[in-house]
Order: sequence, then structure tokens, then C-alpha cells
Amino acid sequence: MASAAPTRTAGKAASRPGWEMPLRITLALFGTYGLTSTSTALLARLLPGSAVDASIVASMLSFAIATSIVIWIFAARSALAVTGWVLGLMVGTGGLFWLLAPADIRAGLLG
Amino acid sequence: MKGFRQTQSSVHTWTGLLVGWVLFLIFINGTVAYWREEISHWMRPELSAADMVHGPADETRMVEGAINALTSRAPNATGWTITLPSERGAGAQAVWQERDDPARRFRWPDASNSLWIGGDGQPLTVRETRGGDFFYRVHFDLHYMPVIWARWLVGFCSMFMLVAIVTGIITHKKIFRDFFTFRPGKGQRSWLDGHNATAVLALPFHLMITYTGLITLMTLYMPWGVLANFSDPRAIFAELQPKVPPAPYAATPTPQAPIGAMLEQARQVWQSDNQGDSRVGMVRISNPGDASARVTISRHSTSTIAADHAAIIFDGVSGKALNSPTADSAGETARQVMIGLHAGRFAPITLRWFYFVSGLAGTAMVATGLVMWTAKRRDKLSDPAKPPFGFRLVERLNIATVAGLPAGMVAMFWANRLLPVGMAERWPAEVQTLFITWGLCLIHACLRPAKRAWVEQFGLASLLLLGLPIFDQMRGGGLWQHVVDGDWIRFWTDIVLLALGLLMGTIAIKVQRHKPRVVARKARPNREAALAVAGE
Repeated sequence: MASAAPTRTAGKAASRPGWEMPLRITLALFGTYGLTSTSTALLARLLPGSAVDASIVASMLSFAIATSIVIWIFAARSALAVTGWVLGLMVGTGGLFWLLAPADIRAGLLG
Repeated sequence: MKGFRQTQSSVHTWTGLLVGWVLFLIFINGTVAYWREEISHWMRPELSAADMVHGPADETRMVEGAINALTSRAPNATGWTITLPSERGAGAQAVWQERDDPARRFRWPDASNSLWIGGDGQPLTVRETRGGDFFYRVHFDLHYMPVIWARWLVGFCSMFMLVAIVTGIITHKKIFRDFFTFRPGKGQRSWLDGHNATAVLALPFHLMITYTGLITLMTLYMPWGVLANFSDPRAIFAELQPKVPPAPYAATPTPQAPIGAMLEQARQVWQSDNQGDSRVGMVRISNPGDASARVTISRHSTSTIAADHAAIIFDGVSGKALNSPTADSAGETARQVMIGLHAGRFAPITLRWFYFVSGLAGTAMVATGLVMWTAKRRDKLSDPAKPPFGFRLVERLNIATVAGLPAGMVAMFWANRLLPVGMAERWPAEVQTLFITWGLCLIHACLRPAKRAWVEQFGLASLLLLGLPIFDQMRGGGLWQHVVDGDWIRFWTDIVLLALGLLMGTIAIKVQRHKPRVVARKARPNREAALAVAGE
């Protein structure tokens, strides 16, 4: 990538390595679902109110979260960096959820 | 911000194209389904204005009539479901599930598991049809595939739609000014303006309808919010539904309590709750005639914005209400309002028209977006006489979807009129007519030159639409008869069919007269147009 391109043609495919777009698309399809799932689960544990309310509100917000993630993935300057961020946040939110979740919930998720 | 907007522009183009055809099907069927009950009424000419519900007395008479008919027709059923019409329909439908049905599979109501009750409480012979319900179901269940796959596919496309809308807004800098911009006869730029106008005109609607649509099936798409707090996902629904003690089948025939008193009690509860009107929507009786009978009376979903399915459960033998009060949940109410906003069951006639027109704008938005993809690339073709395979594929699929699918949908209306009334497997035949016609349109689109195919398929849809009210008039049950009978639902349905026929005809004529601009092959307009897409 030409980082100092004067005309800011960053959107043109020619100036990017061939694996950039496939990586972003794969990340947008699977990374989005993964990160949305972990952050929705974490939100459902963190939101105030009853468990029913927290679960429903977190689920309703999930589609806004997913949309924001997709936009971020394609807007980010570096595909590698955004991949790292998405995967890192997925591990972070998922891990925090796992620490907060009681044993029966963990058992339920493990099947 | 230039770079950001450009990245979002290509996301918009490709997400839009990839799912555009499915989105068109979802949008057009969802739009038509806002007239679900009107279409069902139109498709069942055996029912008349005398079979409509005008007050509690009509409800009670029809439910009692249905129970009488079911007692003689299906005494050994595991369950009876009696559905009463809203003010937009007529006739009560009574459906049963046989106890000795080995398959126990879900079946749509047909001649073998349902009957119709008229306003006088007597059974009526009504042609077997899915009516408007078909358009409602195909909107999210599609057809010819397992429901669960269909819903995932629809959800996937809806998520693309949400991304396409948001990136479309980002792409579009001069959103307000472009709303008043229409440059007809300018080739690709006209398509862009049309796409912008239909998108922006109903933008709040598009955002609302896509988001709330995802919410209707959110526990399928994103179960992790529920699973984060409930190890058994059924627990959350149990908490939100009225609890009654279980009642296993006793196999002991027992006299049943009169239904009239239960209906009256349900109405009083809803009225004292100050929850709008207290129209009864559905009566469900499990293990009818048995000592374990349970009667569930649900309020009509037209009563409130929230799709709350308020229901009261009675003991079928003693007639006593069994409900425990349900949990009061702000989150659940919010979800129900979202679903209510999406389905619009509460919408009175003026608002319903807004829903319909906004839905048409959404359908046109998808269609113009799809056509723009080819319009934008046609100018750049190195050899316009022999376009590459990808271009031809998109072009043909566009024709078969945008013009062919509406033609197929109208063909189903014709099948409803032309197939013999007592025919076995009648509703599947109606539905097959739609898909066969649509399939023929796809073949036709591949065989004909693109422009001819557009004209012929829009022309076909137009003639089919215009012919319906004329055919009904010649058979003695058309516009004039509706005026005489005071049946304004069928009257306006016919008028809308004629109007849509004229619209389709106008499009066909416009395409026919359209002359591609030679100027458009020069380099400069292309550049301008490409910049315009990027919002420059």
C-alpha cells in the first residue's frame, strides 16, 4: 500500500495486495458474527435490570453492533490490523463473559 | 472523509448486488402482505359481507357454530383452532389436528383439516386457497425449502440489507439535495436518481423495517443474548407466557362449559385493562370434549401496536380462568412493539396505505439498484454486442426477478379464479402456478434480447393484472357487484389491481420507447456518473 499517495486513492483495488479484499470479506462474514455473538452475550450479563430484559435488549442491539463491525472492517486502513482487533476483541469480550457467567450457563453453552 | 466514503461505496454496490434478487422477493412479498387479509377475502369469493364480524354477538355466534361443526366433524382431535376475521376480512376458519394422525406433521389448512363458518354460524363451502397468507409466509419462509434454512437465508440477506442501507447513507453525501434531483432520460444517472429518490423517500421506513424484521427472528439469528442468562432457552419464554398446570389427555369424555361465558369474561378482562378494543382473534381448544380440555382465548392482534398475543386460558370443563399473571418486562414489551411495527397488524387504513407505498418504494429501490449495476457497466463494455458472462447473468436474473416475479404472483391470482373449486390439492396448485410462471419467465429472459424480454414480461404482468377485474366483472362478481353489495374491500382490491396493471403497462411502454443515449458512450459522463455514485 502506498501510504503517502498524494491523491488518496486508497479505495482502488490496484494499490492493494490481492489478499486484502478476501481477508476483509471473510472477516466481515465470520468475524462479524463471532464478535457480535461474544459482545451480545457479554452485554446480556452486564446490562442492568432483570435477566429477561437484559437478554432481550442485548439481542435487539446485536444487529446494530454487527452493522458497525462490518463498516469498520471495510473502512479500516489496514486489513491485518482490523483482523487483529476483531479477533482480539472477540477473545476479550468472550473471555470476560466466560469469567462472569455462572457454572450452569457455561455448562449449557458447552452442550 | 473521502477515503471512508469510497470504501463504503464498494461495500454498498457488492452487498446490494449479491442479495438483491432475494431482497426483491422479500420486499415485494412483504409489501403485498400488508393487504394479506384483503387478498384472502378477494381469493375467497364464497364469503360475503354477511360473514364479517361487527360485534361480540357475531363473534360468539361464529365460535359456537364452529364448535358445533367441529364436534361432529372432528370429535377426536387433539386440538381445534378457530380464527376470527379482523374488520378487514370475513368468515371464521376452524382447523383441527387428528389424534390418530401418525405423522403429526404440521399442515397448512386445507379441505381435509379445516372448514369455514359463515356469519350465521353455519359451515360454508369455500375454495381451498392460502390467500394472502402465502405472501406473508413466503416473505420469510420462502418456499420449496426447509423453513429453518429459509429463515437463515432471509436473515443473512436482511443483514446485508441493513449494511447496504447504512453504507448507502454514508456513500450519499448530498442526501437532501439529491432527493429533489431527478434527471430523466439520462441513462445511468436517471437510474441513480430513481434509486436515491425511492431510497431516501422512505429511508426511515427502510431502516425501521429491516431492523425490526431482524428482531422478529432474533432468537434464531443471535441466540447468545438469551443463552448468556438462561441455560435452557425455553425458560425465558416460559417466564413471559401465562403459566397453567399441565393437563394430560384423560380419555374421559366430559361435558364442556359453554364458550359464550368464557368469551364474555375474556372481553371484560381486556376492557378493564384499558387495552384498546377487545376483539377476539383466536380460540384454541386442546383435547376438546375431554376432562382435560383447555380453552385459550387470544385477543385480536389489531388491538395494540405491541404484538403481545394477550391470551386467557380456561379450564374447558369448569369454565374457570387459569392464568397466572405474566411477568411484566420492559424489554419484552419493546420487542413486541418492534414486531408490531414490522407487521403493522394494528395499522388502520391510512397508515396501512403508508406501509404499502413505503414497501413499494423499497421494492423499487432494490429494483433500480439492481438495474443500475448493469446500466453502470454497459457503458464500459469493450464489445457491447458480446457482453461477458457475468454481465449477461446479472441482466437476465434482473429481468426474471424484477419483471418475472410480479407476473408470477399475478398468475397465482388467476389460478385462484380458474382452478376448479372442489379440486384436490388446490392450494398447492395455486402456488405452483406462481413458480411455474416465474420459471418460464426466467427461460424467456435467457432466450430473448434483453430489451424485448423487459417489455414482454412487464407487458404480461400488466395484462394479467388488468384482466383480473375484467374477468370477475364478466363472471358477474366484479366491481359493479361489489358496489351493489357494499363490499368495499373487494372493490378497492380490484381498483388496486387495475392501478398496478396500468403502472406495469406504463413501465413496459417506457422501456419499449427508450432509446439508449449514444452520448453515454463517451468517457466524460461515465466519470461524472462514477463520481456521483461516490457522492462527489
